[in-house]
Amino acid sequence: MNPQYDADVIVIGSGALGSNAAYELAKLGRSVIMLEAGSRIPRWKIVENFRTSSRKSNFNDPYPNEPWAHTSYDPDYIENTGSFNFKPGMLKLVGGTTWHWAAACWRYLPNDMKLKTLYGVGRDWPIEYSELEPYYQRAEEALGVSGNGDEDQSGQAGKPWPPRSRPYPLPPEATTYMNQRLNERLAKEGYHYIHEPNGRVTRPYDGRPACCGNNNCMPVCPIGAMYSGDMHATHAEKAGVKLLTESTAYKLEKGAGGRIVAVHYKKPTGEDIRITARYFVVAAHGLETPKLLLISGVANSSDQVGRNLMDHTGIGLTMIADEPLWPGRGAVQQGGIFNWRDGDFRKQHSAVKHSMANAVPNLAVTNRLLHKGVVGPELDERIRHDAARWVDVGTVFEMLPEAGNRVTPSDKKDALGIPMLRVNYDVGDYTKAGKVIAKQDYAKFAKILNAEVIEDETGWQNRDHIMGSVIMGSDAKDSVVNSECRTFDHDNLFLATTGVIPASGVINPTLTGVALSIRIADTIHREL
Amino acid sequence: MHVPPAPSPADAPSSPSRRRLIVSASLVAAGAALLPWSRMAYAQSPAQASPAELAGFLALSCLLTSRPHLDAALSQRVFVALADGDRNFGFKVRSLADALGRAGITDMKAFKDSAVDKDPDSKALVVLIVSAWYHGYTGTPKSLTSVDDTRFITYTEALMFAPTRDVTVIPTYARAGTDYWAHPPASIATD
Ligand SMILES: Cc1cc2nc3c(=O)[nH]c(=O)nc-3n(C[C@H](O)[C@H](O)[C@H](O)COP(=O)(O)OP(=O)(O)OC[C@H]3O[C@@H](n4cnc5c(N)ncnc54)[C@H](O)[C@@H]3O)c2cc1C
Ligand code: SF4
Repeated sequence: MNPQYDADVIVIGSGALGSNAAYELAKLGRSVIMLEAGSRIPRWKIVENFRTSSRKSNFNDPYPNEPWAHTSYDPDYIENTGSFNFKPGMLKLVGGTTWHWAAACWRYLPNDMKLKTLYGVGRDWPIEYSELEPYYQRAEEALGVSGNGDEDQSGQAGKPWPPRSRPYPLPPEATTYMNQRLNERLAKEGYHYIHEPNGRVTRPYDGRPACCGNNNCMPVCPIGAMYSGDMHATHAEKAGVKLLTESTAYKLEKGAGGRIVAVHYKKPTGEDIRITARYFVVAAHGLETPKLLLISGVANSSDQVGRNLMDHTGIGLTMIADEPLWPGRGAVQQGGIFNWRDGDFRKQHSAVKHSMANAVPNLAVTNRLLHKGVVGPELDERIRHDAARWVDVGTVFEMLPEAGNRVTPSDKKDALGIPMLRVNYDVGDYTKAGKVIAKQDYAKFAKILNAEVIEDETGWQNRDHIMGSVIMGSDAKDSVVNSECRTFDHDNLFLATTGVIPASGVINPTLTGVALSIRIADTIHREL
Repeated sequence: MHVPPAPSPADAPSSPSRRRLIVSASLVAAGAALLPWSRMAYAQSPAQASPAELAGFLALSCLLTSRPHLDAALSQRVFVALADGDRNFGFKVRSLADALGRAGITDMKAFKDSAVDKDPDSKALVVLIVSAWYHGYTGTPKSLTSVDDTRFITYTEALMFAPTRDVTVIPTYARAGTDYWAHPPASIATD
């Protein structure tokens, strides 16, 4: 370690993205300090917290919500000023939000990255798919992704796509009986059901046991079959990374020549500490990362920090099908319908993805029946009948980056005196046009399954995928980071977050974020 | 913590009809237990609830959920949670038990379209009590916030899981090995 600095690299945030970047750097022999705002909690405690929670559908609930490290559902944490109540699930503890993700691990398509060129809307990525491909592979190996490499994941029933240099690290799990039946019936009407590559291992891998269908991926996998960021936080520590918990970064300090020289962090005990490094990686989640830049007054010569905020804002459909399908056997989700993932229609309306949930539906089923006043012997009969036939479709839409959709520091402060978040978010016309298409699909799904529709007007829903908030581009005037995830304004400041993603597509963004984080580690290593 | 019952080995088909017969027979006894309690003076706060009142609530819960047995400790948790914030809860419960007695309901098969079913306040109370047992919590969860009025009662004993116990899981617990889900449950033909 260079004696002039506390470390070669300081990584802020120990989520999947920060921990993977830190681990790669440590493996390459670099000295790394990783700051984490939250505490370290063992898995068994989270599982017990879940089992004794009265809010089983609230995925933040089993996790610590501290006055100095809030979960996103704390009433004071995010103040909304737009038409939509933007409240993504988000956690602050070692490992971050992937503790309660669903581990969908998609790659973007080459076309997703050329949205402007091909379809005349939104923005292009400043890099091509082929540049990202080797990093996708490394990210899949890090996360232990199980997938089917033989499918056309663009949903057009063509050749295997997107291209891959090597097979998925693990074979896919068996298709659930429910999805076999849905495939059969929907395929006849031209819907292409695609398996979802996922971070649930199908055989022992990297110290993790094979998934055995405990059906609790959200909010916590009890056995650690599903990937979560704490796994690489631990790997990083074993590789020599110094992980400092309950340490919240609140200021990036600028020095000569536009370089960042130090980070200041606070602890719940009141300590206020300054540490130095040659390089800095902010990996503090898609909302907290832009906030940290804004309160530090860095990286914002473009005025784009915090703007262009995108989620895959969605809608849902719930039905009772005409045959027993038995959702709830296996993991909480397994795949979906991708007909509208890519095509010329993207000139007019957003891409659309429908996923079929496979969560044990008893709570929703029972709640509905009790609301209808069903009691007595009929209640048990109806629970069994409806639970067997419950079809829950979650739909997501592609968003376009819009400057007015924005996260900024709020006037409210947490227990450390650090501002919390204000979000302004409206759903744009491109996405609204996609919703019209999705609703047509809903009507067809209900018809094909001869189903009783329980709910098909949910209103817009959060999908917890934060993109665009520190947007990547080729021009320093309209973007925060370049194609390397390096801030245009500060040579030694990199952002490891899904917030860099400039074109959202419809796929969950974390695998891409991890791929970019590993790439950041390579770039920094070359320069150190 | 409750240790969850071991899952049945390979999707053994249930026999709901036989199970229900047993339930009905034992409910006659449960219904009888309501009578002395319904004439009882009622405590002012859940903390003061007497053993007899709690026994009465347990018997009422058995009747309303069509269960021969329910856990007495859980019953007390349900009672305390529902009574918290509703000083009249004990009185309402006693009135409900009286009404069920007057209507001669000793089995929930006789509940539908009865005078109690048709009385909105009584029906709401029935649903409130049944909901606590089925959901395993009281109150109404609110989404996207960490603050609501819910109270935890039980997870693995929540009655909503019982009707599907032979087919799916209580999430976080396993039922069989990797890929068991490729096959339909044994009961599929009769589901
Ligand atoms: C319910 C749910 C399901 C999801 N499912 C999927 C899915 O299937 N597939 C998918 O791709 N994505 C999914 N996501 C999204 C996924 O969880 C995120 O994309 C992912 O967690 C982002 O990782 P991250 O490392 O950038 O941020 P996080 O995981 O949030 O980690 C950031 C870390 O930084 C810490 N931190 C924040 N601020 C500071 C600070 N100032 N100083 C120090 N530390 C700080 C935090 O405490 C946290 O630990 C889901 C999200 C939710 C809520
Ligand atoms: S289904 Fe169960 S074992 Fe598999 S990943 Fe999800 S929670 Fe873990």
